[in-house]
Amino acid sequence: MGKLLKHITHSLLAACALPVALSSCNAVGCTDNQNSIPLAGFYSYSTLKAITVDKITVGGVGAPNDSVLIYNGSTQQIYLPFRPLQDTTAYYIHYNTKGIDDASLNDTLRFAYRRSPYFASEECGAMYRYVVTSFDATRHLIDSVALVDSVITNIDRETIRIYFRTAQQSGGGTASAGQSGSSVKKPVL
Amino acid sequence: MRGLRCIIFIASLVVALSVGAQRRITPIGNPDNKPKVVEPQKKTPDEAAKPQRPASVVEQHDSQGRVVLVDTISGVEYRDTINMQAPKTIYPKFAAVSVGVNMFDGMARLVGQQYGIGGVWAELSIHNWFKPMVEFGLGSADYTPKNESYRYVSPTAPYFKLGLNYNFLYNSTPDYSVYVGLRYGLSSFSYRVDDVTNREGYWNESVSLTVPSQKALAGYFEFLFGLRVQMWRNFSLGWEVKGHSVLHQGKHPMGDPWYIPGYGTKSSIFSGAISLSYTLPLGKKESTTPSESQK
Repeated sequence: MGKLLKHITHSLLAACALPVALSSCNAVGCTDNQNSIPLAGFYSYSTLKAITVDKITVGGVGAPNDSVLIYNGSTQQIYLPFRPLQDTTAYYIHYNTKGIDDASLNDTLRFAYRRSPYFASEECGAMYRYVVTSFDATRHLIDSVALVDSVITNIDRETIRIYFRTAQQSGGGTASAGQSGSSVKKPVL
Repeated sequence: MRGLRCIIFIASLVVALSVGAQRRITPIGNPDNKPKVVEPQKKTPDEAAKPQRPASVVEQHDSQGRVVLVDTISGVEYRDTINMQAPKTIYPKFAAVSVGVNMFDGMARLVGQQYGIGGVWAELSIHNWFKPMVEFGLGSADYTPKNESYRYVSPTAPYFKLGLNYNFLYNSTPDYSVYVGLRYGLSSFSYRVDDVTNREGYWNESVSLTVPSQKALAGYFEFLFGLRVQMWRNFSLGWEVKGHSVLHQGKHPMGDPWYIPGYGTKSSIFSGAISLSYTLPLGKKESTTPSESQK
């Protein structure tokens, strides 16, 4: 019993370090985004499956210094950050593939939204959440645009789906705007 | 005369036979001392259905007189749990009342914590074994992270807790307690986020915003392990490590609270308590041995 009481007394003294020990268990970090950024995915309108779109340039309409998000690259998803000081944001998609690389064939997406302040967590902090009230897009290569969720938060998930006009290409060849799995597709204008 | 002789012969023959029968002795032994052969009784269907105790299981008694069945082959002991009695407690039903102050948040603030105030609690010791308790306290937060991207403010608000401790050393001296406990806490409070600065890199736009004040009613659960030691007279020091979880908090369109009074922050599943307490004994320990009662 004497030994037990000795241990108890020692542990009581060790408890003085308890506040320090417990306060150091908190660092997790922000596992989501520190801003509410919509993530858009590219899909084929014919198969409804995700596709990788080749040779595109995506930029914001009115972006500072004409900066772009992607230049002549290929991608399956892209973040389209909204303007936090405006209620609308627009992006253009320029197709760099020869034959459809004219600016008049650019597609433009436009989003209107409502901003509301939101506290996400200690690590991610506070930010605006966006509630998309309306959206539209030109229909050059884009068939349609769909919203998975109208509330754009800092959670890293796809909320916008952009469906491209694609067609099954016969006899190989190269894809001019998109690919889905093993089947090669080409845009239909 | 001839008839008389015949009668005497028959009579003597009968006497001789009867005497001979009384004197017969078997060399094997007394038939009373022979082992009895017990014919197996025929069992009724009900008796046959009952489980029979194997011959290897014998009945013994432990040091406290309780029946213990011991399997002499395997050595396994079986205690009769139906007739088993709870161990006797040596402290009266209402053994003591303790009141204490939780100083954890105060101490943590000294090492940089930016939330929490403290609380007072009262505890009733039942047989020095089960200890129901209540706690009342205040909590607040004024927190700015290292990158100073916002300031989380939760004005001073009360909290209440109800709970129960189980003391493992219930038949030992009450000067020491090693216990586990459960708590349910409830707090009504408000919170807001000021001075939020956020920069959108692509559009090169800086945002300053405020998350307006929101009200919340949160309930939470705590499971704890603690030690308490009497340091001087009836004054004790103790610590607790708590695992906690929010049970309910309502819905908040502009974000859930980060700090809940009495609970701590949601960033950690652990919290702690360090208490200074005073114990007022209500009853004396019952004597357990004759020598102790003579004392």
